[in-house]
Amino acid sequence: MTNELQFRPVGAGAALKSLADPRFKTMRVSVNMLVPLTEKTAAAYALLPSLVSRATQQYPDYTALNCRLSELYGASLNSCVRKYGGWQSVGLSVSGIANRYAFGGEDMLEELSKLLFSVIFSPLKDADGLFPQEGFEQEKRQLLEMKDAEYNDKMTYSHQRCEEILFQGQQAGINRCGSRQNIEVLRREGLPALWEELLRTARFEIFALGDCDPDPGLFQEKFGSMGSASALDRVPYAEPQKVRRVTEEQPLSQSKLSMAFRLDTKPEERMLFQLMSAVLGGTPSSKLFQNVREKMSLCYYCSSSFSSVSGALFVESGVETANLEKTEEAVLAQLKALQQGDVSEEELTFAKLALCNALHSVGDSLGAVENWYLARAFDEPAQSPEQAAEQLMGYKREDVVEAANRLCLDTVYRLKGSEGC
Amino acid sequence: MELQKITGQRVGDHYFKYSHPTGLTIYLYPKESGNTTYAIFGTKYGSIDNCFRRSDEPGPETVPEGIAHYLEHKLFESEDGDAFARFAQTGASANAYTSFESTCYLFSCTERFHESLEILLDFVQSPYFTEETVAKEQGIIGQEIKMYDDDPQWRVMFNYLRAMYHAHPIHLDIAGTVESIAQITPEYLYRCYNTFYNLHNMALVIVGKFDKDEVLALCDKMLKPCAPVRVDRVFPEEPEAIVEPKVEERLAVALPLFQFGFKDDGGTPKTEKDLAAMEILLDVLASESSPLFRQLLDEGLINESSFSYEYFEGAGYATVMFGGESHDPEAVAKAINQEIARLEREGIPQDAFERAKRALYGENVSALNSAASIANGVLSLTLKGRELFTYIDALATVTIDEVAQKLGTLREDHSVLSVIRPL
Repeated sequence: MTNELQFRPVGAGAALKSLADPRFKTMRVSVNMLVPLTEKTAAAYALLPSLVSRATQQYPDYTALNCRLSELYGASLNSCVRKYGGWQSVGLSVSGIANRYAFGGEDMLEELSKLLFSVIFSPLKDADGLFPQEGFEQEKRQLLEMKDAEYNDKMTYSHQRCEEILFQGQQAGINRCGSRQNIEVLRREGLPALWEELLRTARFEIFALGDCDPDPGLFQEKFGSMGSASALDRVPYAEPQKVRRVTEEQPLSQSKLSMAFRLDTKPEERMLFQLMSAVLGGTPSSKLFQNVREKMSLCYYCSSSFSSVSGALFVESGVETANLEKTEEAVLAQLKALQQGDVSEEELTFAKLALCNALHSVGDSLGAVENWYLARAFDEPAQSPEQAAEQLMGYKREDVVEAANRLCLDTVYRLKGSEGC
Repeated sequence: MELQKITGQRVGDHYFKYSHPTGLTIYLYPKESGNTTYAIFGTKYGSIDNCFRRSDEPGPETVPEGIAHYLEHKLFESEDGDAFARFAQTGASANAYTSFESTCYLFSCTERFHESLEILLDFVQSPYFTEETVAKEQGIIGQEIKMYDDDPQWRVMFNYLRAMYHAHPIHLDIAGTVESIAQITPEYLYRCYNTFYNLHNMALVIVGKFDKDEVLALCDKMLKPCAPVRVDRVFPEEPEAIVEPKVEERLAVALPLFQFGFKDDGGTPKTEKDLAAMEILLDVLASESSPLFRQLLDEGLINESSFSYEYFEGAGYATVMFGGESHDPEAVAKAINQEIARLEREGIPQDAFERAKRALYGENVSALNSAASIANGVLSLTLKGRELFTYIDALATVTIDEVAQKLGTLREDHSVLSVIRPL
């Protein structure tokens, strides 16, 4: 990166991370509120950011606000709900083009921040002090439809079911937007108080990135008394007992296999496990791709992904129903080979280079910078992508083999395609 | 060596165009400030090219469906190993894709760009197919086809194209079918490779940090001379009318999906200005600031995360389409038709026209942040005979009358509604 990310605490519970970088043609300001996932609050906290950003006092309906965004050269005001282990991240963001491209002479940062702050601090309410009925109904419907869309996408659905089963009964097993039932029972009356509670209790991670020069004083003034300094924790490790196996059927032409492994890791080992996951199934030169796909022709995709905050590694594939067992065995055989030290220096180098390439690309996208540093809030002191790349290059074969031996199979979820469809 | 410099006055960027003696057109777009350099090498050969005529041979020739995509998979293999393994040594992230009209091979890297470029230029020009390697891919591509069979968005789109097009191969699945790929042999792959991977039919685009002279020197070394053979696409006659106005299928979904749109004249080539006028019209008609979007949202007929629209056009086909999830797709189609009729009656509001222009300008400026989006944009435009900055300029200069004229192409009697419903 040409410029360094600046970290500034702007209050007890809020930090501003900014990067003034004119090589971007755009800017992005986002406010992310991190709270523990609970059955009681997950659905409401997922609904609230889209509800408050529907309209503002100055642009008091959906169309008026969107016309304003169009006038601001197609700027966007978005909400985003993410999940990190047992934590929910409720985000609102604005993005738009840099001042030098605004031919109408607008100060884009000022215009965009004004919109963002107004939806956070003075959202539109009706005479009773509630969020408008119509907006509430629409957003609730859309949140329910998003649940339906996740069911429609079988890859997403299979992964989510696997994660639910893996963390059943735990905080990390709660869906990032709560359950369908939690959404259905939401009522308009309780929401203003919950919004206030979110602003009071969340940990704020604020980003101002791209071709803009934000005034930290302004953020201090706005967020200085907001939020609370919660320590972000990771999902506690529990040694898997018996492998949990769940098979569900749907009339599909391809079956999905999702396997979840638990692992006991420390925050500082994140890059080691990323590397191990890359060797196992993260790149086209990985064991799963080379063997399960290329040699055995069992699938189009078979890949692994690692979540440090959750202490979990997932392997997922789409296969013929008749090949479900065979594929599971093949995945376990590749893992076993890795655990027994069957990994060449070349395989290790390939995985390192692929990960370094991805890490060095982070700085080229504002969204990627935000994603990187938001996740790093869980393992502070935050590493830059460059520091992570340096750490990564230091690992040896034995380290990766040792890491693979800490994987313990916990859950096998199979979405079985029934024949004749 | 003559490099033509092409400048985008409105966005402050520029790139160079160079016609290499081998016939390849090369585009070099400097982006010094980023870390990533992106290279893409593509041929004007996609899933619609199942019937073609070479300028050095008399008759048109027909081949099984799915060869372009099959070739894409197999080109990664050579006699001495696969290209992924070679890219793994440089750390570049490599990939490829086949679309309706092109096949593209690409990589992005932050280091060792020249080595990766050499691999790209080498493997795309070095076909190696045997009975054994071709057979091995049947299982992998078979699973790729089945993955898409279960993808409701893919299904709603192809059902739509099949209901709209009688004969044009745009209605055929990109990967072909399990049956059609069973007919693919090394001979077919070589035949299509030798026809379409002629450098006169290809383009190379590089965006990021590079030394122009070094890149061109490497091209001189790596590019193999090609006979100046032209390939013409041969399409069957496509009637103006649609096949059927409505098509439905049931799948394992929780919420219905729809694709609705209008068949446009595919025979006339479209200019940058035609595209700009249509993009502005669609923004006025259906963007989040439009009255139609608000009406559909208020009536609970669409949601923000899935509703989209697109002017989908190319060689011999053109259609304006709207898609998304809806409990009542028929009502969405009706509302779109009514709004088009209203705009025809009342004209396009000046303020909505101006807003759409600003929004599209901003979106295009934003897209120039990313080396990947620039490279893919330049390549797909060039393979269709268009140019990036001319398109961005057209967005600024197109008139409200030119936009209004496009309304006439959205004819209800040429519309198709495709729906996927729950089982």
